[in-house]
Amino acid sequence: MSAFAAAAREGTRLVRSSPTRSAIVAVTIAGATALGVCEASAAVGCVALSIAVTVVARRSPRPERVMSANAWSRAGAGRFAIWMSGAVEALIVAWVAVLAGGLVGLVVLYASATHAAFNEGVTVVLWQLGLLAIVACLPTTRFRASKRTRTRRVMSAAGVGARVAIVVCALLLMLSLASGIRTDFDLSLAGALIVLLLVIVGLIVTGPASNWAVDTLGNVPIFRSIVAIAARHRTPATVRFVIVAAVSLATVFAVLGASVQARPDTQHLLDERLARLPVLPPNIALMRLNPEAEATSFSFSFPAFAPGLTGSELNGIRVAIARAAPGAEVIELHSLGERITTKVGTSRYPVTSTFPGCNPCDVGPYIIADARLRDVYGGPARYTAPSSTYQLLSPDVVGPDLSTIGVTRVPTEDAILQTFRHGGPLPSLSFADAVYYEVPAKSAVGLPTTISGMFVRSPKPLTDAQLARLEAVAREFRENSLPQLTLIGPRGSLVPLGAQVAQVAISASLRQAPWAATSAAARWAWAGVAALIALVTLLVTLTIDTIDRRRDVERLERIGATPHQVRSAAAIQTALQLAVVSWLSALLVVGLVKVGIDAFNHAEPTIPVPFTMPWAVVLLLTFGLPAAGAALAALVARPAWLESRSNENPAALS
Amino acid sequence: MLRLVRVTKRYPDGPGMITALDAVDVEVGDGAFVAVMGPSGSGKTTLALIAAGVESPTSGEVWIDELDVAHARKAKRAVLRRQKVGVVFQSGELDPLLSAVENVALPLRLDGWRAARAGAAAREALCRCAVEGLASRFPGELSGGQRQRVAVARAVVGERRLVVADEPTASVDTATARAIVELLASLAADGVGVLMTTHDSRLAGFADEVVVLRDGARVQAAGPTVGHGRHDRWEEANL
Repeated sequence: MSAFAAAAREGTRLVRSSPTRSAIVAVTIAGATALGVCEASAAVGCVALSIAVTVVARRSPRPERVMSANAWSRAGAGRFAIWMSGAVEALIVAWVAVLAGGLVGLVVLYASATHAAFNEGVTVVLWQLGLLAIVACLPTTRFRASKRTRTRRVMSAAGVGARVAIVVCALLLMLSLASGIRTDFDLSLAGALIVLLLVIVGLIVTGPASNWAVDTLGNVPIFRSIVAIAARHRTPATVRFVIVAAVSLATVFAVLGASVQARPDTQHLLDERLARLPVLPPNIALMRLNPEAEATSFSFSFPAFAPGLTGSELNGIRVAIARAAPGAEVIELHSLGERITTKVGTSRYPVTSTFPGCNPCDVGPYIIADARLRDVYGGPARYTAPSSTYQLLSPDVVGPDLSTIGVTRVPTEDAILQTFRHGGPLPSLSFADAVYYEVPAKSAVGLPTTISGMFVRSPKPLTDAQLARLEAVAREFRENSLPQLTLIGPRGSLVPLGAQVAQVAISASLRQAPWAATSAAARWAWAGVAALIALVTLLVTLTIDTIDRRRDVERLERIGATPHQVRSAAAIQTALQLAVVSWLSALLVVGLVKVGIDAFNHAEPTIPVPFTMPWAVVLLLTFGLPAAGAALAALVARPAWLESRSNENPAALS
Repeated sequence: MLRLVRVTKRYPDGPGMITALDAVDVEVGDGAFVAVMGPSGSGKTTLALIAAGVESPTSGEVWIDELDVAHARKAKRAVLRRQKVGVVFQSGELDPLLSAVENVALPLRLDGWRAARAGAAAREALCRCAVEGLASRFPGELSGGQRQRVAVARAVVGERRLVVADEPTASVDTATARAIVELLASLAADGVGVLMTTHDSRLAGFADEVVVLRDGARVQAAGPTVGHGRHDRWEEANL
């Protein structure tokens, strides 16, 4: 018989040798697989749970496997053969469970869901099979009592030093990342990295911290005997990993969500109010050429240069306007170029860009200053142009930086926002898409100008008939020679009809952000899911641990430990370690979110996001989870069937 | 000190019951060394476990000092084992992850002793069993005999006055077995009551009294012995 066949046979025997243990592992994985197949949103959590359970099952030093490994070793088997028998055992349990659970899930999907959902379910099963096969290949655990030699002490000190260095570097990196988050794009990149670093730090710190907590409790007289039991075994890193990840994620979502929910939705409300305002005064209309086309690059686009009107076109339009609105004054706009704007639209209000360097990328076009515009806008030009992103798209001409000299007569968005925040009155007109930055003629010497539009100013409010005639003029020129010609009336765009070009772009409410639990129900759901994942992992781990340590418990009880002490030790150990893990995770998360929010508010002071702690959710995770874990541990630590095994040979591990 | 009165133990065996012990009487006084002999399956281990309070008899009485162990709660019996009765098992049953001194100190730690005080008492017990040099070693680094000596040290650590040793020499060579039994005899000489099960008549010769079991029933008792080499009678008892 080949070594492979022998290892496979031994692996199969190991599965059968502990049916309860194998069944618990298999049922958990099968359940997780079935759930992950049926519910795509739960797939990641289910796969994580399956991996955690398989790692615990594979790495836990169960007596049968230790005996098997020792026997094989004495019989001359190499490390590879011993490893392979363990790997085969884990693989059999994991794959059979995945296939069974997957089959159940796929049957349910086949009957009730779409073809795409079915394919997603198959993908989950394949991922499970692949990932669990990798986990099954972990090394076989063997007892190694650590003799405290000098070399080992030096190595241990070096290890501690390395861990401290990793933690410090990770903390600094996380602080730096959290301070730099400004947009969803930042959050998607930096946030994921922060969570990864959080889990690494949590994993490194919570191990020694938990041990310290257990040892410290041993100084309290009433806990001495219990700690004597508890201190002998530590919570596996796998379990700590799952808890750290679950608690960290839930806390991040909860704190961010509560903070966003507490933020006044001023920007969104203001946009909604402005969108309801008239665009222009009742006696004004704006006829102009819009950019020809948009040149797209990456995720945002550049308007091409707006074409200017030729002399004959201008004259033709003038004559037509005079016929449509007798007595109306035409105020030509001498444009100095065109603006760069985001793909979202031509709003003068900031829009959230998906491009990190362009937020906002929104300034109005520049024109030669004209005193007649006072009658259009109703006030002097005194608001400066945003300077952050403007670029004059004149490839052949190098002129002055217009953003430093351009001024507009329309209150800037920041000024309106500040007024709105302090309860001040809103302007009566929005001038949406009708904002121009005026530059004194002497400052624009040498720059090319074009007439790309004109205000039509009537001495009296424009009647519906006049507006209809102006609309007809614009439409006629559009059809004949100027397809980009548009007309904006007092109440918005008239040509093209129904177009939204002159509407205020309403910014999305942060409360709809997918990355934050912005309702109390969502926060509780997150906390509940995190607690459930942590407790299920804990339950499975404790159960496996109890099965694997039954001889240890027997030994303890034979030399004088009471069942109550065994239960108390498990409960206190679990509670302490869960508390340390959840407190540290929550502390790190809360600190980072606070730093991130403060940095964001400092950089974007317009509408600050308050730092709000959802205390109930955090308390559930930091106190409720340890309490539930302790109760669970006490329940599982010493099941009744342990009693019935007291006549077995207890010499296995000695 | 230890008194077993008409102790009977039955285990379920398929549809019926199997009798492991049948109305056995044994008494171990302070400083007495009593050996229980018998072939495999005769009930020696069951007797030892009942004497140590690990298991309860189906009927009969087990008295340790003034405590009725047979009817005591499990927790009470556990307290008894860590305060008054030390147990030595066939293969030592040491925790492989604890050093020798930590293993010996464990019963005291379970009893709420401070770690330092328990450690000092454990070192004293190791010294008493002549293995003080092995204090920092782990069970995996000890020979079978050394492990058993450490197990004996764990059984006598603190203020125990009774040691129940279940086949303590089962897995060691003859010389080591003899040394371990001599150690138990020396404990008895110091006033500790010792109940030892064995199937080796030569080792039983060290005991003050020998109880012979067959099929769960006591067939013969002899003693007290007067020293070494008095094992002929036990061999004659069909062992």
